[in-house]
Amino acid sequence: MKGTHLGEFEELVLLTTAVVDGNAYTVSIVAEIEKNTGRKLTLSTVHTALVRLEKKGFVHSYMGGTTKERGGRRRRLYKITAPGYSALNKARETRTKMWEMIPELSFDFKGLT
Amino acid sequence: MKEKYPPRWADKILEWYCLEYYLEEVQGDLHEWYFEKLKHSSRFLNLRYFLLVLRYFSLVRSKSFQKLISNPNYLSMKKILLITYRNLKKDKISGFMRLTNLAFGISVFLLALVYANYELNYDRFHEKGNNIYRIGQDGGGTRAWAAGPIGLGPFALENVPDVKSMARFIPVRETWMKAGEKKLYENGVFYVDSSALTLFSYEMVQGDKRTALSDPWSIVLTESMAKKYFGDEDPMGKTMQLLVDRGESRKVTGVIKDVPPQSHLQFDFLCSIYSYGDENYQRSWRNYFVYTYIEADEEDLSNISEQLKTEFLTRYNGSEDDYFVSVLTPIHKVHLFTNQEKDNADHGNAYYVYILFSIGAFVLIISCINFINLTVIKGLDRAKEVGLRKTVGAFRPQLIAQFMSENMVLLVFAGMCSLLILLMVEPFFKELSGLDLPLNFISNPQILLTLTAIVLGLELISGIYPAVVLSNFKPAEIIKPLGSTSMKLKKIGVIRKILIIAQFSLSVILVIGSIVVYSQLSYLKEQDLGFEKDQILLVKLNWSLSQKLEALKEELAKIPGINNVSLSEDVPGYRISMETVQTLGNPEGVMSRITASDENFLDTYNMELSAGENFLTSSPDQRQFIINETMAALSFGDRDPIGQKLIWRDTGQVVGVVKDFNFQSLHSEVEPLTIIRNLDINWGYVSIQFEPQSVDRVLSRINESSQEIYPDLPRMETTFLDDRFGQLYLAENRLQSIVWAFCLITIVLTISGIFGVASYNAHKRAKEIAIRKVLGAGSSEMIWQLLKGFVVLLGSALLIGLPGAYYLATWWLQDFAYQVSINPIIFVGAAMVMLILIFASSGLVTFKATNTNPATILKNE
Repeated sequence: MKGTHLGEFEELVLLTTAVVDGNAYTVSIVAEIEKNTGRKLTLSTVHTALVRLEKKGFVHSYMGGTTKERGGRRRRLYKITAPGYSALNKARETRTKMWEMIPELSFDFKGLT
Repeated sequence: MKEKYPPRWADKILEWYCLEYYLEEVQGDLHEWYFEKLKHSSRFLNLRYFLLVLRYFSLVRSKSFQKLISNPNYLSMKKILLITYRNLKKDKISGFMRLTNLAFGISVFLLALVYANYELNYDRFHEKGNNIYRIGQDGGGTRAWAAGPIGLGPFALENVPDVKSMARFIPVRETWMKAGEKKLYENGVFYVDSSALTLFSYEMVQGDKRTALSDPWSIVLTESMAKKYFGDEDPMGKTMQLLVDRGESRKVTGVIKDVPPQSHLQFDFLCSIYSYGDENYQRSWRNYFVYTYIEADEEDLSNISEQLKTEFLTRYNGSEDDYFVSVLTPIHKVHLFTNQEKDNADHGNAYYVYILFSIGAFVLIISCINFINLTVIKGLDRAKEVGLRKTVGAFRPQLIAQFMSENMVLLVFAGMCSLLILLMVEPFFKELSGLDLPLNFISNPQILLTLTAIVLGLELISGIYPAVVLSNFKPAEIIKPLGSTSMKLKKIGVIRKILIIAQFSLSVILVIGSIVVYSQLSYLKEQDLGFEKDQILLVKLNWSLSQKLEALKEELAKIPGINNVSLSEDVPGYRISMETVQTLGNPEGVMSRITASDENFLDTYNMELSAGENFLTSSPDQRQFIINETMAALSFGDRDPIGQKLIWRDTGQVVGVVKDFNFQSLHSEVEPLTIIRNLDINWGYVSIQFEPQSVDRVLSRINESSQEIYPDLPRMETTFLDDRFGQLYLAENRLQSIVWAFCLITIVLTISGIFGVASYNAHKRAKEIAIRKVLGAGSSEMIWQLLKGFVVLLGSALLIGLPGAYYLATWWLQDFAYQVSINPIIFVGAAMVMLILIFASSGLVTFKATNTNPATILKNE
């Protein structure tokens, strides 16, 4: 069905949501992605991806607790759903399958020998 | 250190645009980010925070956008677009025809509108335009004079308090201009008051509006003339010489933008009027060739005429009964609505504007009728849809809204198509109309406004009827047909038939009208004018050329291929002045065109004498007149005019009567004409009758001789007289081609209308045809069955259309002095053409229907 395709960036965000399960909200996801991949993202980029993922049904959200820095505002926590999990899985399988399709590669290290 | 907080103003922005649903979360996230960053560095933090807020803006989080797309109207709009799209896709031909019909109709109407708008808005660019009037004079003749004496302007300004300001324009005919080495003939030269630049709104590029023309020897020129004479140099302060100034030179004191085309005054040079005669002359009641413009309030107009008259009569000791009538014309009206003597303004023809506009409106109506018919016909197929919708719970207003919205979609689309069509016809339009009028909606945004108005208007006119009709079906009747429904369908059929009849009659009127207009115009052009105009070359004389006139005449006579050379004050095709000529018994006199010529004039123009003889050369000092038949009848009645005395400035004798000929054009009737033999006058023209086969040699020889005789003058310009007559009929020629084009479009629209209705009929009766065929009916018989209805419709349309066309044609023709007789064949022909068109287009459709194998149709049952 149109609209449930999982984009590359969305996959990354979805994956991270699963990784920090239970405490996944925009700020923590940005931090986690930076920690694991070194990519510096803005809050809005990740938030937009989350909104989109929620629309596709890959995550669902609920309002969680607050901290002092947030000035009493609650955070919206995102949790991966079963369809989200299977979409991730499918993406991984496609990848693995294609990895296995790569023939033995021999690299020419010209100039080294 | 004071504790830092995220800037409140940035938060406000977020709160302003962000959807409530996300606001708490997003703001919390942002604050968390802020305090996190604060731990490391606080440089530009507020700015970075603000940028982040901005980056959060997207449509999914925007309050107003989300509100918009959840609006029920938006949702139903989306549905309507979808349904319209599907319906169009289902029947491409009908959709295409409805679209093209509308697009054509709208474009033709837009074109007519743009043209009419242009013609009707002459001289609107002057800021004081609403208060500027031209003072002409009613000299007691048939037409008022556009021009007055030179002293009129100052007289009015000084003696009539309601006249706020005044500017005079004196045209300079036939002069050359000299600047440095360049010496060229120029036409657009005027002497004007210095107030002309402040009274009228001509845009100054260089120089001062108020003082540019104060000096008697100053001149102001247009940008393109500055370029022509001075190239890229700065023209200010340069000197120019005019032939008419007899050796004095003028200083350029200003440059104005080229005069806009929508101006009845067209000029290239403005010279200061203060060099035109001394103070005394400037105030004298002489030189009746001055256009005087005054600024005044509208309510004072009648007052001004009165005051002018009283002041004039007291000052010059006239009596109350003296004839003195001023004619004040608002300058907007000069272009289209005046037909005054002595006027050489840029003129249009109000009639042609009306004709084109009504044709445009007719074509639009025809295309609308097509649209309505096709929509209703298509809609009948959707009766089941309507029934179903109603059953499910739709109310009638909703259905009407739906149908109207569908029409709106089509209309908007057709409007866009017509914009494209306008873009495509722009070059043709330019050529035909001779107007440099942009038709693309970007440089002429007025078109878009007009188009919007048209589309909305059409939505009301052609959208409501189908919507009301179609939404009127009762569900039960449609799904299970009863007697009353077929009654209703019949009723719709009646209204549709009326529409078709209206459309046919309009087409008949348009076709006949076009033919009448066309034949009247060709009649005008081909009518024998009563003199030779095809083999005449003209040389317009000026002061420098007149200096060696005898030598020129001798040289010309020597050139082989030239049959006759004549000198005259005026020539046919140009304006000839009108003055009072008296007879001995009649001191009141007769108003007559009066001109002077030498004895070769009649021979050169191959004019025939009906009585008497040509000017006698034997007695050079005697005053001799030749008059035309009209003048003879007016002055002498039944008496023999030969030998009678005529008085014009002095008494002379009539020696000949020339047959009436049309010395102007066929727009006007033959007027009285008096030709006086005069040897000591400022000749206006040399007319040369040449052999057509040696025209090239004649032209080059004339050129050579003129170089010989006038070594320091610009090349002598020669014009063909028939070119001049071509110019006189330019408007007619253009109208002719436009009328043809519109006529063609009408025919195409009519055909497409018939086509639509016929294919519907054939479609509806497909089963009937198939069954009849199975039972053994022949093709031709069935085609007749289907065509019969059309013939009846056409018959009724002809009953309305033919008399209508006849009435309109005679109404239009009555204003022409020379009318083509309306040939009944035109009417028979137009009726035949319509009949053939209907048979051909509907026959084609029907033929296809009757030729289908009955099995393919019947197997569906």
